[in-house]
Amino acid sequence: MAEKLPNDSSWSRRLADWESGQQGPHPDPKVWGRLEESLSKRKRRTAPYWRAISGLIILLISAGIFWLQSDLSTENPAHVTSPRNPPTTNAQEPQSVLPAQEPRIVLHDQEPRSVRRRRTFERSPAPAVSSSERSPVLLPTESSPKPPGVSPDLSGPIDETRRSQSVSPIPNLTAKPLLITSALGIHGVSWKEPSPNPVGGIAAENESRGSSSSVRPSSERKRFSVGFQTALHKPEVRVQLPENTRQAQSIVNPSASSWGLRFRLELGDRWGVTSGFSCGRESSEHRLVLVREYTPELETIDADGNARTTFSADFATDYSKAGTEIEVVRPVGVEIPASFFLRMGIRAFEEVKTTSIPLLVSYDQPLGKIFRLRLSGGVAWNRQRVALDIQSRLSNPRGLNLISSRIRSSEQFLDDNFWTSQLQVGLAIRPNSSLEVVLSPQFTSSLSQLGEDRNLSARFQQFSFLGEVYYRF
Amino acid sequence: MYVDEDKLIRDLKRGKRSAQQWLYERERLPLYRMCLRYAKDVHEAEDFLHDGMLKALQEIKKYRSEGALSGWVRRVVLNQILQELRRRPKLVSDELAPERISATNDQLDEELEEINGAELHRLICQLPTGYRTVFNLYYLEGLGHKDIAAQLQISEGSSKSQLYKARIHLRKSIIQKYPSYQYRTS
Repeated sequence: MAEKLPNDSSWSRRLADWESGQQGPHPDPKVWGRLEESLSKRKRRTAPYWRAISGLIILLISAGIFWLQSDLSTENPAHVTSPRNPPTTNAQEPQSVLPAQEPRIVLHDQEPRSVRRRRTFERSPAPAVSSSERSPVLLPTESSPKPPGVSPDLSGPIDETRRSQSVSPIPNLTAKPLLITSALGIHGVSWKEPSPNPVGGIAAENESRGSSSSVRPSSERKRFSVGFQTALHKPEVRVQLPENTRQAQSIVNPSASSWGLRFRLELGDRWGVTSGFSCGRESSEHRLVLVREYTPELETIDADGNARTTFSADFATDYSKAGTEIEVVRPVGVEIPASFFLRMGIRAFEEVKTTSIPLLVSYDQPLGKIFRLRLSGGVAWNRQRVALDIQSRLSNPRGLNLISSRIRSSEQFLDDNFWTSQLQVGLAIRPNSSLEVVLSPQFTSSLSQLGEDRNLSARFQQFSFLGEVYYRF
Repeated sequence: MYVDEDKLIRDLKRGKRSAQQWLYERERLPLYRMCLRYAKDVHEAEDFLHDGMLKALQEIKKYRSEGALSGWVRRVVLNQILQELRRRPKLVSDELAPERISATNDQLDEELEEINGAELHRLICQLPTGYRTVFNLYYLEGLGHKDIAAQLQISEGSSKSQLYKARIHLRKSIIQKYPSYQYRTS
C-alpha cells in the first residue's frame, strides 16, 4: 500500500497533545456503563453458545469414532466379522470349505483386470471320496468338521427344533464398504473486494499512538475455493440366516479410493454452492460359508417315488445377487444318514466404479472468527458400473466337492445412472483467509431403487466422514 | 492500577473487568476527542467511542504485543469509525478537476501555525462530514489519497477534491476568526 509520510507538523502535534490532555470535552460517564453492559451481554450470550457447539462437535466425533470401531453387525453380530476382527467360532472351517481349487465351470474367459488383481484363491487337493457311492459313510474330516449338535460318530439324533423347520428364508447379505473419496479442484477466477470488516483492516497494530501510519484496506473477500476431500465410509454387513442353516463365516474385505474436481462458489459471507465431479473405484471381497443339515421333513416325493430335498442359499449385496440351489434326490430304498449335511461356500468379488457430480448448497453459521458451522444439502448425479466374480461350491461332510461354479461378468453387469440426495453437517475452520478445513459427516441416499430390473431393489445409502481442505481464491 | 503494561495486557486477554476499565479510563480522552473529529455531534462521538472500545476489548486477543497497546486500540477504534462512516449512503460525491486541485498551494502549516490545540480541534469539527473525514485521514492519520479512497470506498479524485475543499473551508474559518491571516497568506 502506498503510504504518505506521517504529518509531523507543529499544529498536528499541538492537536495531539491537546487531545491527550485533561482539558477539553470529556465523554459522558455513562459510556463506560454501556460498554460494561455490552461486554457482559456478549459474555452471557456467547459462553453457553460455544459450550453447546463444542459439546456437539465432540459428541459427533465421538459417535463417529465409536460407529467406525463398533461391531459391523446389527442383526447377527456373532457371525459377522470385519477384516480386522476375524471370526472366533469355527475359525478353521473357511479355509477348507471355501473354494479350495480352481473352479471347474468358467463362463467367461476374459475377467476384469481389477478382479484378476484381487483374486487370491488357494489350491488344495480334493478329498478322495467319490460321489458315486450310493450310501457314502460321511465322516467329518479335519477340513470338514462336524456341525454342532452332531455326535462324534455322526449317528446321534438331529435337533428336533431344526427338523420342524420347513422352507428356509433367503439369506441376505449386504456390504457397504470402506470408501475413501478424494476430490481436487482447480479454480482460475478470482477478484477482490474491500471487506466492511474494520478489524481485518487494522494494519499497524504495533504503531504507537503518536505516530501516524497508514491503515491497511480491509481484508479481501474470497469467492472461489479449491478443495481436496477425503471421505471415510464405514463398512456395514447384515446377514439373515435361514432357519436350519448355520453360518460358519462371513468376511468382508472392502477397499476404495476415488478422485475428482470440486468447486465452491461463495455467495456472500454465508451461502455457497459446491459442485465438481469425482471418480471412484471401490472393490470388496465377500466370503460366506453356510452349513445345511439333512432334514427328512423337507423331503418331497416326486412322481417316480424319489424323495427330493432342495438346498439353496442366496448371496446379495447392494449391487448384485447370486444364488446356489442344490437338489438332492434320494431313490426309494437309499437311506441318507441323519448326520448328513452340506456345506455351501460363496465367495464374491465386486468392483464398483462410480462417477458422481454433486450440486450442493451450503450455509455457514460463523462461530467466532475461525470456526463456522456448515450445513450442506443437495443432489448428486451418479453412474455406477459393477464387475462381479462370484464362486460357489457345495461339498459334503467329507470335503468332497459336489459342485462348484463360477460366474464372471463384465463391468456392464450393472450400469445404472441414479440420483442421490446428500446432507452434510460440518465444522469449517479458517485459520487464515486462504485456507479452509472442513470436517463433516455426510449422509447419502439414492432417490430411487437400484437394479430393479435384476430384482435387487436396493436403495443406496451411505454414511461417511469427510475431511476437506480448501484453498480460497 | 496497572503499572506493568504486560500484566494489563494479560488481564485484558483474560477478560478481567478491572483491566478493561483501567484501559478505558486511560484511553478515553484522546479516543473521544478523535471520535469528535469524525462525528457530527457528541452523541455520535460517544457511540463511536463505545463501539470502538467494545471492538478493541473483544478483539484484544489479536494484539500481539509488537507495539504500544494505545496505538493498537486507536487503530481499532478508527477502523470502527470508518466502518460506520462507510455505511452512510453518500459520504462524499463531487470531484474537482485535477488542475484546480494542483493549483492550490498547501499553505495549511502556515495558516495553522499560531492556533492552539483546542481551537484546531474546534475548527476541524466545524468542517462538513466529508471534508472532515478526508482531512483527518490525510493530515492526522497519514493516509494517502489511494488509501483514503479504499477506506471510504470512494474514488481517488473524490478524496483529493474533498481535501481541497476542506482546506478552503478551513482557511475561510481561520480568516473569519483571525482576520489578520488574510494578509499573511495572500
